[in-house]
Amino acid sequence: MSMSSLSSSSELTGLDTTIRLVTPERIVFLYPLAGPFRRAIAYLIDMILETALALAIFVLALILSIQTTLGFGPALAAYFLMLWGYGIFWEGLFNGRTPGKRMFGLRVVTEDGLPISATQAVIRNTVGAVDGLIPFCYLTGLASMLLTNRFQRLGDLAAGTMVIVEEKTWRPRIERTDKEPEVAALLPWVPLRVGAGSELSRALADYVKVRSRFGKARREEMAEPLARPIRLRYGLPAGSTADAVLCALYHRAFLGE
Amino acid sequence: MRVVERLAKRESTWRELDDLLLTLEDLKWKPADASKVLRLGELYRSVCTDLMLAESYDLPAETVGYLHALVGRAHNAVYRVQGFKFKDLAEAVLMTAPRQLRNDPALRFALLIFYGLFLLFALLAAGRPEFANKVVGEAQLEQMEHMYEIPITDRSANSQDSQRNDSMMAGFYILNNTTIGLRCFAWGIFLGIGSVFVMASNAITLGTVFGHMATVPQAENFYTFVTAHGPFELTAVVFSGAAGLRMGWGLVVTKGQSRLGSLRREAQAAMPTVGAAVVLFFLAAFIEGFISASPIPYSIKFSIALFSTTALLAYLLLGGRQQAISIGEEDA
Repeated sequence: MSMSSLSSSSELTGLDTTIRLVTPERIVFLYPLAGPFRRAIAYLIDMILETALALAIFVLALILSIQTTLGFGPALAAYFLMLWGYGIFWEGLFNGRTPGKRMFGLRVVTEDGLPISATQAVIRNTVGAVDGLIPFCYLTGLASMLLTNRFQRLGDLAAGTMVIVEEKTWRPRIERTDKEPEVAALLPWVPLRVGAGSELSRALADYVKVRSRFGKARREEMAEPLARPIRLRYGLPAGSTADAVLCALYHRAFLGE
Repeated sequence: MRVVERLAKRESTWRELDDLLLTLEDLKWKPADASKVLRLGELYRSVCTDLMLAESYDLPAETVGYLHALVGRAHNAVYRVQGFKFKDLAEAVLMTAPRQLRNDPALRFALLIFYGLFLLFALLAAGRPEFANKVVGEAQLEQMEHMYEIPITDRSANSQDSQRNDSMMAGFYILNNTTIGLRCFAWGIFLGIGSVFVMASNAITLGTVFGHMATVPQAENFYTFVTAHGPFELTAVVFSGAAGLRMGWGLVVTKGQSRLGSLRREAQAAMPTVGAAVVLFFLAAFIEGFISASPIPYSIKFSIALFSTTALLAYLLLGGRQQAISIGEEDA
């Protein structure tokens, strides 16, 4: 995590495992990094696929060797290609994704967040052979991932690549709270246009998003420090709950009417 | 403008980009339509603008997160992997690799280790009766002796049997030997020590067997078998070792870059040599499977060995020199 990622926004991005990228369009955006456990699951899927492919190759070879005597030679060569070429083929031709990575929304990119080159795909998968050395059972790769700040295994380090998460998040929506009687009762006091400012807007949006997870008492405890000055400013009734105050302000700030 | 109005206004664009990305991410061999690519560019730029202005619009953190993910996906759809070009691969193996190898201390070191240990152990095993038993073990030596009991020319008696062995063994050599070679390169990441270890252990085993086989009655059969593919196969091991050493040495001598940057530079530089090694392993496997095991006369096998040695020397000494030669001809 570089220094600039902290300075660019008021959010503390340093705690999360995110990578900052500046595109040619002069846009800065963040990528979440993929940790060992996500990658292990994707790797498991790839292993299952590889095993299935290997079985298919050998069954095909068996069928071929019934008629002619040539079957097993090409099968062994095909097995070699699959063993060393699986990752190179998928990552080098399909934009950094093996089927397992595709299934779990992972992608291999360069350390700068750009698409990898074919050479990088070859290096990362060839040198990657040492990550799963037999006596250590993937411990080399795991140790390397835990010691580097981009979760890179040795193959990644040699190729200068990292694995990121490409999330398909759901389109967020604005919460409707004005149907709740307590909030509706407060709305007439709050002006139609509220210039909340970016910090207050974010706090309100975060609160309204998570409030449904908490009980009544906990909501009050969380909302009260912010609700007190708001009650004073707009002259809201003193008996109104802090939760309703924040919801009413949220409604005016984000939805207006 | 209220946040909700702004969102409502922009949402159709985001939805369209989302759907377009889903169709583009499908596995397809065909390139996407030009109209789709154009539309992708437009939508990508406009979502970039939304993300840039997200903070000043007071969008909720969740929406900003969504935009980050959307821009990320669109970015990876716009900027893509370039894939492999056959021309680049051929040029790397035929032109770049010999050019690098000529001046590569790693190659000299690898040659010294491999052939030095090979010769040393071959001489020791040939000169001392009990030496080979101690190094590779009695069981393996007996197996080797048993394998070469029948002269290769007599194996043709049952032609169907020998044919099956040929194809099967060629495939086996591709799988087994190339895997050893690639592993030898990969282990170089441990400061080159892994490559030295793989080369040394192979050189010791092979050298001992070669030396020992000279002292037993099956000597002729054995040497007839190994002549044809020997030059390619042994050199392929040396090439993989040299590539691994070069990568490992990058961690030691950084030439002013960071350790990792230096490792990356040398790993990249070692790739043509790895490619050359893989090609040699394949060639050796075919020769070993189809020629070494076949009953053709020894003179042909020997000339193949001679030819492949000459080809290797020419590759190392003259490969990739094209331009320099053509300039020289112009001068003359």
